[in-house]
Amino acid sequence: MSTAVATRTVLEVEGIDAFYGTIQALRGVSIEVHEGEVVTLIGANGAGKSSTLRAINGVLHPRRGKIRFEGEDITRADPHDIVKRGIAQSPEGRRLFPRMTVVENLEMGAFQRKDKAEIREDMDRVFELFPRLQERRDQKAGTMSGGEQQMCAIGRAMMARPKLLLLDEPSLGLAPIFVERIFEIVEQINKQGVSILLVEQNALMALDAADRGYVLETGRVVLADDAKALMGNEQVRKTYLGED
Amino acid sequence: MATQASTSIPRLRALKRPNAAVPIAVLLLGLILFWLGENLVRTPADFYQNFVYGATNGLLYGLIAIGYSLVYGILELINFAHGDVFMLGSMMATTFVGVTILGLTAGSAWYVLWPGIIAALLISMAFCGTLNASIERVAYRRLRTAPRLAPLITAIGMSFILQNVGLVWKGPRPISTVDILPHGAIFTIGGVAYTWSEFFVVAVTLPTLALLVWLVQRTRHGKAMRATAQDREAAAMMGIDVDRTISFTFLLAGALAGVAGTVFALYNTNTSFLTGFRTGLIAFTAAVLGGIGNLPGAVLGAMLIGLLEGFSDGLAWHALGSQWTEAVIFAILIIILVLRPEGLLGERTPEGG
Amino acid sequence: MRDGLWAGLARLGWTEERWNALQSWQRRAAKAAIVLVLGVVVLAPIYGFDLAAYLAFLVVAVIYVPDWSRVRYGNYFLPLAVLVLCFTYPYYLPHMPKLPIFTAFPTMTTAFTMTIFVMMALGLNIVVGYAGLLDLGYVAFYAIGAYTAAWLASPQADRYHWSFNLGGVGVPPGLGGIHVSIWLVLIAAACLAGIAGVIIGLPTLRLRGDYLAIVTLGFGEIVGVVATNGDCLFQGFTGHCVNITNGPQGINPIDPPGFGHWLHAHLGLPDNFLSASNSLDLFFWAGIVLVLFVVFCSRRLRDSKLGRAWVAIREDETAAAAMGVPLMRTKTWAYAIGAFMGGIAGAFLKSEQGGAFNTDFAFQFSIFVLCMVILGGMGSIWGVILGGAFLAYLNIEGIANIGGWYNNTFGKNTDLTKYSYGIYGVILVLVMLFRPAGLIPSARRAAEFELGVEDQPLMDARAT
Ligand SMILES: Nc1ncnc2c1ncn2[C@@H]1O[C@H](COP(=O)(O)OP(=O)(O)OP(=O)(O)O)[C@@H](O)[C@H]1O
Ligand SMILES: [Mg+2]
Repeated sequence: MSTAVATRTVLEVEGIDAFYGTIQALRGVSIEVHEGEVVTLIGANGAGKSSTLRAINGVLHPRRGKIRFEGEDITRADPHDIVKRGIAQSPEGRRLFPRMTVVENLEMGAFQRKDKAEIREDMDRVFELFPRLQERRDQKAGTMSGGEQQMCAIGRAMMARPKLLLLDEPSLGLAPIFVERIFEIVEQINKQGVSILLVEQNALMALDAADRGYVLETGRVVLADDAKALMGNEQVRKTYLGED
Repeated sequence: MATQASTSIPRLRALKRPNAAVPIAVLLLGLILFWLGENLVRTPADFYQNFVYGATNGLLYGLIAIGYSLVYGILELINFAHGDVFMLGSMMATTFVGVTILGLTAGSAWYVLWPGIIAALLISMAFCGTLNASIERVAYRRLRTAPRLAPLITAIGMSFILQNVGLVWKGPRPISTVDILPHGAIFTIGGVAYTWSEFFVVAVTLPTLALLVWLVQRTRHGKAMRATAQDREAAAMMGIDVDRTISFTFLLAGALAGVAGTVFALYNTNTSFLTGFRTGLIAFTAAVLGGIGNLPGAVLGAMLIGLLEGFSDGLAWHALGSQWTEAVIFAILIIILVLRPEGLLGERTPEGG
Repeated sequence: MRDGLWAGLARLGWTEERWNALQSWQRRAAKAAIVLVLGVVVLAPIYGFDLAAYLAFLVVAVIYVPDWSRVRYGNYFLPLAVLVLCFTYPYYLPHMPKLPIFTAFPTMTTAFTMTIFVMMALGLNIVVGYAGLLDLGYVAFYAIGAYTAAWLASPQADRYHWSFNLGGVGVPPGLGGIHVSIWLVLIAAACLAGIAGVIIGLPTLRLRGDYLAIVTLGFGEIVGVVATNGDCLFQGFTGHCVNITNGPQGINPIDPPGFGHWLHAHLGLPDNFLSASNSLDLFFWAGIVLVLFVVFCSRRLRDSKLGRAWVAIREDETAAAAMGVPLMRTKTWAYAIGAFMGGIAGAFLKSEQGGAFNTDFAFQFSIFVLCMVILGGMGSIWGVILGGAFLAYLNIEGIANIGGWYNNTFGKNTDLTKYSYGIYGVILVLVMLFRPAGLIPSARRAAEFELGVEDQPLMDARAT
């Protein structure tokens, strides 16, 4: 593994196995995210990308292996505890609270926080990033368009002021212009010092935005390298970038 | 793309509301209003008496109905055992104010009586709240991800178990509570007195409901409850302790059942191990009538069902008679569920599928 | 449990590998020896030298221990053996040894009632187990079957001066009312119940699972109220009572089953079950035959196209609809067929009991039958038969017997039967928590409990 930047490791996932009933979704997955990095997970449908994020978030407890966040073991921790430590997720399929307004959804993102004034500030910042949300602030989230919901989901995750942000297919279902916008925003968030673990179908853009990347196949990490190197990897180009 | 198109077609068809609903509802409503009016003209005293009686019981049903609604809202589970928690609450209150512990009587001085009643309320709330939360912990939690029938069947089993707890505790015969509420009239309409005992029900119920609304709408716990109800996993990802929130919801629902049990025991001055089943079903009907998961709806539905029960039990002109009241209530339940399953105040949400 | 056993054996030098390396006949012989030795060890202190006990044990061991499915036609062996044991039950019952705790084997009357409940449980199994629709008002179909029998084979209709006899059995001369042969009554009861199932089903089956449960519960309760107050209906409209159920007095006597003189004389079939010398045996055998019929129908349905459609809507209603499974029709069929079986059972039970009373039709009954399905294993025919037979036995004799044993042993004086519904409640909860797919689970159901299903139905009526 070529970790060019020798910074502190924020997240260490060490050989986790995870199951849904008897179906095994993850087989010894190991991942690292360093401070200030954007790391991307790519892989075909059903490869286990979302399952990895869910395991990190504590909603799918791995049966074997370890997950450490800032050096502390969070393998068996409850999701609310993990959020408190500074991991937030914008889940696959957005998962907004459909019968709450945009503002209420954003407030839910800050559920663990007590600092009222700063929450206000953060909300203003989200509105700055997504002016569209500002216009829709009192609309029920369930009635918004897919793209608007996606913005709200990302904003909601930001409201937790996480140290590590997990983004599961943030560009899903968005128009190309929005996809680019989302990647710009990912970059901006990262600049503010948030480490990001990004899952994407759009491997090209993801690798472009990321420092490093992992390739998952049927629940296993098959490749791990610098994003640039991965983009040059023939295997990756064939399978995920649609070249032949 | 293709799958999307094919799933959306049957969905639309299934969502289409039967158009018979409106005329049937109007007709039914008209008939009921006409019947009530005719009864009011013929026997005003009966009408007022049953109005008071029905409205008072309606408030009580409201407290229980909210318990069903809260739990349904968060787990989508019809907590069959809820009525029986209420029943045990009424037994607790009976035991506490009665000879066994406090020995209150109608003649007790006010400074003994009222603190006693308040203590009974609190004890019953604590008891039922804890009981309800424990039931969730022991019986329902393991089944969160099981097929939906599993927790429902477990709830039915719990209901039978609690009934038998009541049976073992107090025996098969109805037990009576000492009649300690003052029965003096506050005012009189058409020769019918509105008494202090009826006012007592209002005086306990309304503040409780107000407190509940505040709790759910304004507090952190309330927000966590609403979020958990809408998307459990997303709520967890927001840092909400889902297990604790669900426990809290059961605690709250149980506490309300405890209030209802105490008030029921004091107002109706009797209870039995079967009370919970019947009352629970009526309250559940009320919750469905108002729109399950909808708190104001539960209270509205409960008032309507309470009044209906009162009128059906007590009016004479062209009434079916009290032996049919239960059938009427269930018939209404069926009609509502078939014609407007989202209830009076609920709105239909297609997103759950 | 299994793993623990092997761990223990491994310590004695017997690993699972070593066991599996044995010849199959060696393994079977070893198994048989172990079972026999265990049997004697358990039985000897209880029964001493009671030969019957050892014989009974041997029969069970011969049926259960060998792996019959490896033999040619071996798959038929178990059902056939059970069937033979059932049919010959009246002959060996008197020689059966006493049971520990349960005290005694079921009497013939109990055994008959068990067959009826097995039938009902199998009927409900179609609705709950196959189609995944929770029906809490199954008592309605029992009641319809029962009152059909009550009208078609009793003096009840004489109230309205309708009298005729169509193969009725055991009718005293001069008694008015309709008296139809029980076999026709069964058909009528089944059909009426089936129609009622359709009528109840059509408007309600659109509802999601738990709402459906409540609506059926409502129907069940209404049926109970109608049974109680059915001695005086429509008085407000017609000015006089229309008596359908005869209220708390109930309708009796209901004619006993039988084949009548002609068939008796020509085919040797029993004339009148009630007056026959082996009356109890006849009822029991007839019950078994009816159960066989219901089992046959269940199996055929399960493996039919309709059966697969039921599985589809049970596991994912939305997907099933998208694949073109007609939801309403498929569900309605489940309802109608379940009701059909309940109707037969209800009618036959009442013709044995000789009367239909309002108190028979309470909500608890529906739960009781549901318990049988759950305990045995939703969707599993063997399981439901076992669950039905066991709970029916508990209800009629078992709990009383156990209570008697308890009181004797511990010198207490409690009436355990008072708490029977509490006991059923405990059974429901325990089964759901620890063995949710039932005692003898159907493979498919077990998988659903393991993995979960998409049982969110199409129409969701949840409100804000
Ligand atoms: N709730 C579930 N129950 C059972 N199996 C599941 C569940 N969720 C995911 N799986 C299985 O786990 C495996 C990994 O799924 P996961 O959602 O992690 O894939 P993914 O890489 O995110 O795919 P996609 O790109 O399609 O989102 C898949 O085989 C999937 O079928
Ligand atoms: Mg995914």
